Amino acid sequence: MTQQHPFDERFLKKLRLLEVDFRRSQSQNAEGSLSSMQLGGRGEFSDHRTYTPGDDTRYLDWNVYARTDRFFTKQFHKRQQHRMAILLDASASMSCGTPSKYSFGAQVAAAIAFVTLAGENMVSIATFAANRIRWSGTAHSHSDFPLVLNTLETTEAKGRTSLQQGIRELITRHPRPCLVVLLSDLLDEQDARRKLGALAAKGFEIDVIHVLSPEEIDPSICGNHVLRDIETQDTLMLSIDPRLQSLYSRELNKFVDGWRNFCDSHHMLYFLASTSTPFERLIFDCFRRGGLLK
Amino acid sequence: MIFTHPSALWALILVPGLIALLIWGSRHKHSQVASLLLWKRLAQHGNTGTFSRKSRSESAILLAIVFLLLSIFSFSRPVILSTEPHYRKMIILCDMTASMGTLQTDGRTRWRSAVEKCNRVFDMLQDNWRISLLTVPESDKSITDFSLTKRQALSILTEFAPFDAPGNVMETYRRLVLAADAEETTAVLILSDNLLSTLPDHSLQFARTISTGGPSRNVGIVSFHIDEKAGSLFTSIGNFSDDERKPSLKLVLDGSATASRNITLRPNECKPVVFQQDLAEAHTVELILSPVDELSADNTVRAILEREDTFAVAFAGKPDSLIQKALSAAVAEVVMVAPSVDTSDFRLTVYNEVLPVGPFSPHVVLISPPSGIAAVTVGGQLKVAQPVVTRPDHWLMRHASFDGVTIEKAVELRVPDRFTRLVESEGHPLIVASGENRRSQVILAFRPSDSNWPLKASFPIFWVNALNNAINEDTASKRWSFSPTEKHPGVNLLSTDESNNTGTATLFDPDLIAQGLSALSPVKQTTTELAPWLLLLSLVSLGAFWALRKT
Repeated sequence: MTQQHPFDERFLKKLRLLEVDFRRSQSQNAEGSLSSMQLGGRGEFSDHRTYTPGDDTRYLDWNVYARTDRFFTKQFHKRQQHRMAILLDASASMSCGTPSKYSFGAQVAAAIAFVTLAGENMVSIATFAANRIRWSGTAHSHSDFPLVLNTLETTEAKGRTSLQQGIRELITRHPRPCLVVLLSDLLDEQDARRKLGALAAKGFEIDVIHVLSPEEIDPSICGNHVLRDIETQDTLMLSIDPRLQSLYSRELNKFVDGWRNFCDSHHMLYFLASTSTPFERLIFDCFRRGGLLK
Repeated sequence: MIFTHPSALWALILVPGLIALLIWGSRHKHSQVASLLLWKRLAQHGNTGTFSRKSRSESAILLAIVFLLLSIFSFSRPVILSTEPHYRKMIILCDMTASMGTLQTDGRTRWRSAVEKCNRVFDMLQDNWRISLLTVPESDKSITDFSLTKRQALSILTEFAPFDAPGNVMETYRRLVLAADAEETTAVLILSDNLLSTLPDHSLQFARTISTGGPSRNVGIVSFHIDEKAGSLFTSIGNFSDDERKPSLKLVLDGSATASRNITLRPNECKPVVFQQDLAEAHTVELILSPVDELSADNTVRAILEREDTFAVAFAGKPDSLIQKALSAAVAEVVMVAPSVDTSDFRLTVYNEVLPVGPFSPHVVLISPPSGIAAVTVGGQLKVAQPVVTRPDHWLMRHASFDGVTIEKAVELRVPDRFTRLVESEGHPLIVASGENRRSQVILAFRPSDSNWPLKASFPIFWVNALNNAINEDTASKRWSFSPTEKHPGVNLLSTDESNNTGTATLFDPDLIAQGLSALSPVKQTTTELAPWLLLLSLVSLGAFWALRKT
C-alpha cells in the first residue's frame, strides 16, 4: 500500500536537520545513538593508529602503507542504533476536536518517527485503546517510514482509553529499555501514572506529549447542557456559566500540573500540546526547547 | 381597580410567547465531550451548583415574565378606586339646659326623646365616624377629642341628664363654627329643644349642621283638618311649655279674618278648637295663632282648597320651614344631590344615608325614591329669566304655577330621554322627572334659594307633590291628598314620630345639608394611580433579570 507522505519537502528538509535527543538510553542501549571510538566495524572514519600485532588486518590502510611504507590501522566511530517506541492513544476521546486529537497526535508521531529514522535509529509505533493495540513493526530506515504511516492512518480512534494496557504491551514488545514517547490526552481514570512510574523505574526514558483540544482547555459552552462522555456514554447535567467555566479551568490546571509534576519527579519530559498549536512551532520550537529533539 | 388604558392589556398575549421563548432558551442542550473526568470532579467537589443555577435560571424566567406583566399593567394605567373612608368627625352639641328635662306627653323627657332621635340618625350613618360631645352649658362631661364611636357616644348620651343651669346653644354653636378647623369638615348634630332655624354659617368653615331639637315653639298648632261638607274646621292647639299660656286663634279665609278664639292652655296641654264656616268658595284657609311664639314664627296653618280637584295642601309657617319639616318627614327618602359643574357624565348610587355630594356652587336637587339611581349630566351655569311650565298636566306640577317665578341661576342639565321636562327656560330644562309614573326621580337644575320660588304658593305645592313621589305612594296620598267629597283627614304637621300633638321634631336643614360636605355626604372615592409604582417595579425586575443573566 502506497502511503501519501503527510509532510511536504520543505518540512521534511527541516526535519532532517533535527535529531532525537536520546539521553539516558545512551548508556543502557546496546546500540546507543552516540558513537564510540572503536577499531574497525561499520561507522564513520575517525583516525589512524599504528598497527600492532593482533589487529584485524581488514582495517589496514593500504594507501597509507603505499605512501609511508608503514602499517596503519583505520579507526572508526561506530554508530550505535537507538530504539524508540511511540505510543499513540487511539481511544475515542482522541477523536474529539477539530482537527481531532488523534490526527494531530498522529502527525506529531509521524514527525518524531521521521526524525528518529533520519538519525538511523529504530522506531516502532503503537496505537492503543482498550483491548486494542496495533504495532507498526520496527522501522530501521526511511524506507520503513510507510510502515509507520500505514499504522497511523489505518487506525481509527475508538474505544476506551487504557494506558495501562498500552504500557503492558510495550513492555512485552520491548523488554529492553528504550525511549518511549507517549501521545495521549491522559483522560484515563485508571492509575496510569503508577504504570508509567513503573516503566520509568525499569529504565525506560519516557517523554509525555499531552494532547488536548482547545475546547477542553477553554470550554466555550454555556447554559444548560447534558454532557455525554464519548467513551463511557455517561451523562452529566450541568448549567454552565462563566463561574463554572472558571472552576473547570482551575480543575484542568490542577490536572495538567499533576501530570507535569509527576513527569518532573520521574525525569520524564512533559509537553502540553494543544491541537490549535501550529505544528511547526511545536516540532521546531517546543520540542527542541523541551529537549525532545535537538 | 379600573384601567385607564385597557387596550394596553392586549399586550398580555405576548406573555405566552415570551414564556415559550424563555423555556426554549433554557432547555438542556446535549454536548459530547472527550471525558467527563474533570466535570465529574467539579460535581464531586460540589462546585457545579446545578440546583442554584437551575433556580437562578428559573428565577430569570420568572423575572422576565414579571417584568413584562408589570410593564403591560403599568401602560394600562390601573387606578385603584378606594372607597375606604377616612374618619369623619361629628360634634354633638348637647343642650343640657333644664328645659330638656321637660316631660312630654308620652312620658319621656325632651332629652331622652332627642337621644332616641340621635340614635336614629346614627343608624343612617356609616361606622367611620368619630364623635365629640359638647355640652351646653359647658361641663367636664364634654369629650372633645373625637375619640368616640357611634356606639360609645350613644352610650354616654344615654347616661347624660339635663342639669339646672342656663346655656345658650346658639352662642356655643357660633363659637364652635369659628373654632372649627377650616380644612376639615365637621358635622354638628345639635340636640336641643331650641330649634335653630337660621343657624349661622361661616364662609370659611365647612362645618355642617344637623340639628335635632324639641318643639320649635311653646305654643303651636298641632293638627288641622277640614270637613268641607260640614263646613267644620278642626284644629288642636298645644302648649309645650311648663307655663300656662293664653293664645288666641284667628281664622282667615282668602285673606279676610272671619273668626277668632281665645284659648287657655295649661302646661303641656293640647286642646281642640273647631270653627264652623262655609268653605264652599274658599280657596285659602289660614289659622293664625297669636301672639307669635317667642321660639318660632310658625304660627300659621294654611290650607289651599281646590273644589274641582282631589288635592289639598296644608302647611304651617314659612315656606322654608315647611321644606325643613317636609324633608324631615322622610329623611331617608329625600336625597339632595349637587354635583360639581365640571363633572361630566356621572352615575350616582343613592343610599338612604347618603345626602349631598361634593363641594358645589350650582346645585341640582334630586328627589328620589329610596335606593334610586340618578344619571344626569351637569354642564355649565345658566342665567335664567323666566321659567316656563311645559307640562302643566303632569301630576308633579298640579297647582304649581310658575307665574312670577324668577330663577337667578341654574345649571345646564342634560338628562336621558326617559326624563320628562316639566319646567324649562329657553330650551334648557329646569325641572325634570323620570317618566310619568310615581316614585320616579325628580331633578331640579337650580337651588330653590337662588330663586323667588319659595315665596310663591306653587313652591310648597310642588314639594308636597314631589314628596308624594318620594315617600310611599299610598300613605302619601292618604296623608296629602284627599277628595273634597271625603272627610278630610287631619293634616299632620310632619313630626316624624307621627304623634299628632307634641313630641320632638327632627329637623334637617336643607340649606345646610345641601352644601355637600355635610357629615352625611357619601364617602369620597379616592383614586390611587398604580402606574408609577408598577413601572418602577418592572424596572427593578428588569435589572434583576439582567443581573441574573450576567452572573
